[in-house]
Amino acid sequence: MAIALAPRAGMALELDELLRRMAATPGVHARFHEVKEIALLAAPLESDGEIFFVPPRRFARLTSAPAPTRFVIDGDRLSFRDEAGGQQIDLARSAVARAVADNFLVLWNGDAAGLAERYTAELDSSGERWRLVLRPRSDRVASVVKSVTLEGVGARLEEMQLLEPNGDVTRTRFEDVRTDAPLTPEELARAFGEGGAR
Amino acid sequence: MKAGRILGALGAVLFAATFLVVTRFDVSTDITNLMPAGSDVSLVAVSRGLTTTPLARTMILTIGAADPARAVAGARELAAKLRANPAVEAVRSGAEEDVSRAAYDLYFPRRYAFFSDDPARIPELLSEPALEARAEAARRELAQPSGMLTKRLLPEDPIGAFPRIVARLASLGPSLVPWDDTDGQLVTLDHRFAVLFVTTRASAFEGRAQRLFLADLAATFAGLDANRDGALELEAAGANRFAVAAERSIRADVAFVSLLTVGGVVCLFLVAFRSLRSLALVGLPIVTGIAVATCTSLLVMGRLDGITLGFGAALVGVVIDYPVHLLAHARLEQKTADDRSWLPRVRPGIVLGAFTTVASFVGLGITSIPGLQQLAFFAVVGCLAALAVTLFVLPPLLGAPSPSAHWMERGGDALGRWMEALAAHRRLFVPTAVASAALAAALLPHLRWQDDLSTLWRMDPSLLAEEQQVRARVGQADDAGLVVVLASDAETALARNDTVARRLEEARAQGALEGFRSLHDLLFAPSLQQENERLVRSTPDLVGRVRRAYVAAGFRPEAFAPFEQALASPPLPPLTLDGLVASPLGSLARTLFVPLEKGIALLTQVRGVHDEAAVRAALAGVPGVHLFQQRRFLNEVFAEFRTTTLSQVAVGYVLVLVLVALRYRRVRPALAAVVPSLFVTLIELGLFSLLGVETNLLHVVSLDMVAGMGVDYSVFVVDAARSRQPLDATMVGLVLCCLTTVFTFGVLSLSVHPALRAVGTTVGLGVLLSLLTAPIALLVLGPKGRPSREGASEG
Repeated sequence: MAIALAPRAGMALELDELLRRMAATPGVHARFHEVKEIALLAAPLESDGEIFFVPPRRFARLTSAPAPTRFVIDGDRLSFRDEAGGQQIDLARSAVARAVADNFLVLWNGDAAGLAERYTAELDSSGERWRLVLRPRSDRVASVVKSVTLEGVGARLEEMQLLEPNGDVTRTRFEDVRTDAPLTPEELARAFGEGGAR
Repeated sequence: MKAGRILGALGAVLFAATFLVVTRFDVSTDITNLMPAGSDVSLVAVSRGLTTTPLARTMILTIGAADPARAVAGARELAAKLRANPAVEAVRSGAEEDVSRAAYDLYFPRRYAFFSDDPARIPELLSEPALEARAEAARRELAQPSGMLTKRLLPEDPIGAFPRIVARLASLGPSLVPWDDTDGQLVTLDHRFAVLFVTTRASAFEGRAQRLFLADLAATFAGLDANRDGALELEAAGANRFAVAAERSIRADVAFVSLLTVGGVVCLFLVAFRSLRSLALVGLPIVTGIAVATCTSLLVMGRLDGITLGFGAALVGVVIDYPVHLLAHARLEQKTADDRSWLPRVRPGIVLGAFTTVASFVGLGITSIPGLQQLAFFAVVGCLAALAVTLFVLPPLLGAPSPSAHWMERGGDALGRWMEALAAHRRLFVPTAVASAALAAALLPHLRWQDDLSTLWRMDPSLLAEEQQVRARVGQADDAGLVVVLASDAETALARNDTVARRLEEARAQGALEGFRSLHDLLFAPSLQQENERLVRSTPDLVGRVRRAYVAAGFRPEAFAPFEQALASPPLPPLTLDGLVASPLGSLARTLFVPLEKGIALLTQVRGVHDEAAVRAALAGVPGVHLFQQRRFLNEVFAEFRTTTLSQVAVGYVLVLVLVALRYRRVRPALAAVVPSLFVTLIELGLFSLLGVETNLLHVVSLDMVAGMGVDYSVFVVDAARSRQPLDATMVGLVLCCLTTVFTFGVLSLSVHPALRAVGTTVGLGVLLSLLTAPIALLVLGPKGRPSREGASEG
């Protein structure tokens, strides 16, 4: 279902409207293809997978290639399971890791105040197409994230670009984006593991 | 005039004693005093040190609100106010990022020194297959949202030394997170409560300081809560809350009990002697006894133990029988103001009673436990001083005889005749007494001893529930045991601690325990740090191995130049305990060791011990290592103290028997003086057993008091009977002694605190039984030793 996002006179109103409509989604599921250009690596790092979002604060990012991994934000708990041999770790203790993870939520949970507290936001829109650039206010987060650029149509996020201070960049392209229906029990279980369909 | 001089002299003595006590008063509460001489007191020093560590002085406060953001704001304001409070040493409200930064600053330059706690594994950890796996893992981590953290460390640390340190440190901190990236205020994992750790300057057990601080805290919180329309909720955990609550509760209890005591004794003395002057006279020997005992103990021993002072003062309370006995005889037998004709008849009984009490106290002191020796010394000195006042100060102060009291004479006559009648009914009384004693003796093996100190004080259940709830919120268990590593120096202790940590980890892997929190996670022994540095740096072609492994995983070869430079630079000197304590991570370290007078104790907190035998087996053979539980340890010390006290009460009985045998030089009077008291001890313990009363150290010490009083009662009866006098005045004296003791000690049985209740029940019941069993003395004396009313008329 396409959600119209009419251009408004003031940017704040447009952002509020965008957030309101994003927050109105009963759930999000999408496939993604991500390309990381990292100075340490000889070649870009590509990965494929799926993302799941259940309002207000449940998010899962599952990669299928190059190796199966699961990154989950469930309420206030963050975990990363490397199914290629790693083990579950608790990222909750790291403020920076939390901040990075919050990038995924800040848009979808529609928390305008939280967004304004964490980032300066610039929104360009044309018809239903929009482009939102977020820059962290916190020096601590800014030391690892220079900016996050999100592009989409209506309530549908199509691309995210994360730029780091050293020039490394991560581009994530979302496909088969579904924003108009809650996640099915099977999807919830796949995303959040056993007991995930609560 | 003579009375005036005596009072003046006594006043001077009391003034000097008071001056000495005020200027030299030094009371300690050192439980080494309760241990046999020659015991290893290192663990006691650890136990004592645990009460003063920052951990013991730290309160945990959680602030909740319907809107967590308001709770965070409230916590931030409370923290600022508490930091300005002079009673507060430190407030930790959001040091998580500081700790992370401090950990990086302290350990990253030393990452190779802390690479592995098992250096034998280093060649394997740095082998080509291990490095290839590490490179693959790093590549996978880079693909994750958290990869940007990995990326910052990787060029200097491709072998993953620092993440290994971070993983170890993660086990040390509480389970809390910062509120968000702009506010470091710590909150619980569910974001429902903001958390503050408040360390006070005073020990948790300094009653006055903690009382004031808690009142300050409550007032401060109430102020800021009022500004938020009462939206905040403060809950707390901390040993100081229990200490202050216990003190407050005991004060209230003592006030109630004191009111009953004063009211009861005043009424008793008004009824019996029709004057309050007699009450002052009775109090004089006790006050003098305690004052003289206190200053003599201070002069001889330099300081007084709290237990010596408390129990000693109670034991000196036994002497109340002497002035009461003296006054009862004066009341019934004194004809004129100067008539002291009755005194020579009463004096020997009082002297013998006092010396039997002294003998029982000496018996208590014949042990290698310093605390019991001091207690016996205190009680003996107090008893002798009270005896001297009773014999030499009171008689001149007695004054004119009180108006006649027919009821008292009639009561005395009735009691005397009742005693004589009981003594005449041997066939009824002897089997009853023997059967009671036999039954009581049979019940003794079923007596339930309770040496758990925590049961001596009534803990407020709501305070306890709040404590457990708050600790659960921050992921702290309060049932943690300790592994204590003792050594003469920090380096040796750290080396032993490294071994302990390795063995505990093995035991944990086998399921013997759930986890542990060790200084080892913060600090290796210098020798282990150097061994790590040496093995890492001497690994053949390490730079080449790293480069090949990472290039194979898709990394650029030049990315690891910083690693090559780090390996080439000289290592830092090993991190020492002093260096760690001086760093921002010092607050984590300070809860994990206790400096001792001679050496140091390192503490490992263990939790969820499922198989204690397996844990002990794992620790076997490491020198200076003890599996230690503060509560169990103290209970064991007190159990030993209780057992020794009980056996010394028996020794005291033997000494009392010897003394009365020397005094009477005949078997029957000697036995008559002791047997009733033995009956009382037996019957009382039998009753406790029958009623399922859990008996403890306080019951035992109280039984010693009862024994001393019981022997006094018997001695008074035997002396009166041997003088062929009727028992009228003696029995009136015994009833007054009994009632006075019931009002002074027995009312403690109404206390809400098990400790005070134990004393009250034992002494109250004991003196009543002592009165009821007094006729046994006459039975043992036999017909020849019976009192005679004819003798009275002759006398």
